[in-house]
Amino acid sequence: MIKSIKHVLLIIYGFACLYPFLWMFGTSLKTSQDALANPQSPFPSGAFQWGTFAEVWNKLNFGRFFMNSGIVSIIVIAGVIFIYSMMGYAFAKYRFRGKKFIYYMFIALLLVPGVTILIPLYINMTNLGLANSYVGMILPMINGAAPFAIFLFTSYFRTISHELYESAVLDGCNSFRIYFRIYLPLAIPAIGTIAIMNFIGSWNNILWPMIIIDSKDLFTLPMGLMYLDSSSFKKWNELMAGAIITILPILVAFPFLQKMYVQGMTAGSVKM
Amino acid sequence: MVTAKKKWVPYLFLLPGILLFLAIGVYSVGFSVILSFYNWSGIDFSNARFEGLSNFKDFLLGDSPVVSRNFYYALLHNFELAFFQVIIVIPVALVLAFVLQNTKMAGFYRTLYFLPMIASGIAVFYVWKGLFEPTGVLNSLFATLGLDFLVVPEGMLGNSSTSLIGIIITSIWGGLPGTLLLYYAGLTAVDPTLYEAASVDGASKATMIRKITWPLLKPMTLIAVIQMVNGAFQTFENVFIMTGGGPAGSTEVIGTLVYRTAFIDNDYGLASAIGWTSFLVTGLIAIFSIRGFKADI
Repeated sequence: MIKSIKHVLLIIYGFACLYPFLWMFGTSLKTSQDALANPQSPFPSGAFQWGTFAEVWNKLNFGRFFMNSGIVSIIVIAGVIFIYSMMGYAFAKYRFRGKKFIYYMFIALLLVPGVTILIPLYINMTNLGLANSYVGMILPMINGAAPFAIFLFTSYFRTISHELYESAVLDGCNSFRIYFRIYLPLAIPAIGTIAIMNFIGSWNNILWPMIIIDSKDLFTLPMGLMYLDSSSFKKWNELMAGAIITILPILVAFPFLQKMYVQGMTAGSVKM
Repeated sequence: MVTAKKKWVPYLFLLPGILLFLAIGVYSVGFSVILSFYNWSGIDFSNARFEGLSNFKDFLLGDSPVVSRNFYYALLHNFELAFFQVIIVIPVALVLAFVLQNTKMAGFYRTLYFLPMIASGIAVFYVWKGLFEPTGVLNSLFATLGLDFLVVPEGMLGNSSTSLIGIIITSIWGGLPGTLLLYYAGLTAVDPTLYEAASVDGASKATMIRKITWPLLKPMTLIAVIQMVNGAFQTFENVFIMTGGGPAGSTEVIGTLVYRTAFIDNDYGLASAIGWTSFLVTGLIAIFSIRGFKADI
């Protein structure tokens, strides 16, 4: 009895998690009249309109948006991992002057509300001639990821035995080789967690690209989706087809993301 | 930990990050603090007028009643978002995590619950907008269940007395899974021999929960609360997509207020001042966050 109550509870919550996706998918397969007349139903009342996906894809050059989102995400992830794993390594392995100050200065960045520095960031990027460019979009995203990445890499490298370092020194390895050949490969779980967080973060980021980009050639998928919303008033079927295109890579990578995320979360949280 | 023979070695590892931080972080933060004392509508900074504290007086002390009213309402909405999210998510997540712990299909459920966590973003905010439509899913669900008093004819987001509830619902939907999975990870990490030993010693179930389970879940609760409160004060995207802050400012939060003041009204000075004031408010929360991030360095 108690067991079935448990399952009912878990199923109800699972349904609540799933329903928005069901509605998104169902609505994208409706005709636009059907979507407008029967928004309460997640199922199309006539034949499935698969053609909407192709229409939306071609209407707004979604292929280009897709590529832009991909470029931005990949460079952000690579940059974050490279730059902040080095910092984490230095914080974890060396004693040096000003260490605490530098560490907390970066962590404090976490607490500055993004929207506060948006204005000067925009002006800054414009002055550097980086407005409306990939670089202008990417650099602040990397910097914004600093606090959590530094925190995670520092804690992770601290858990790796120090004897490894000492024996590598005895073997004549220099500091950079030790980092690159020994410590970085051992940090794969931390790298995975950081990669996923930044993939989701940069893929969904809308505020910063919206401000720094105005050429449609550089639109990312979320910007494309917003543009679709403004250009096809109340066409829920088109909007939902666009929404599916936007989150498709996240859904495709889902099993992998889940595995890495749960691993990283357990590693990070249980230690604290 | 070692002291490098060549003193510059650790700094070399820090260099790329620090350069980026100086070029982007420090410059922007510094400039935005300065801006908050100026009246400036953009383009050329030589047009800016130094005005001392007048931006702050405008919205804090009510020198400009409209701005002031918008500011306090926005701040209140941020608080409401944080408050309701925490008091609903924590107990529900805890109960679900306990229930999930000993079920056979835990893996299957976990996969389902993981979906909102990674996919909650702009695409899903449009879905919610659709679900909240006047003839949308929520209204027809309530009507079918006979809960007519819950039906909002204009749609939940279209009525200024219910719109914030709609925003809170979406935040909970996106935020609950993270906390739930965090608790679940914590519960399954407890060494079962601890419970066995306790029951051999004659401890009651309640004692075990109080003495074994809770001490482990406490730090996780702290992390979850900090994350939610921080997130609530940084709210922007869901409000921006779903309501744009309306109707009649009923869902305006600090994020959307700063955005509108800066990029629609072109009042960069005022926007910076509002942003920094909200930063001071969140500063209190920030101090707690730093505690959570205290690494052993």
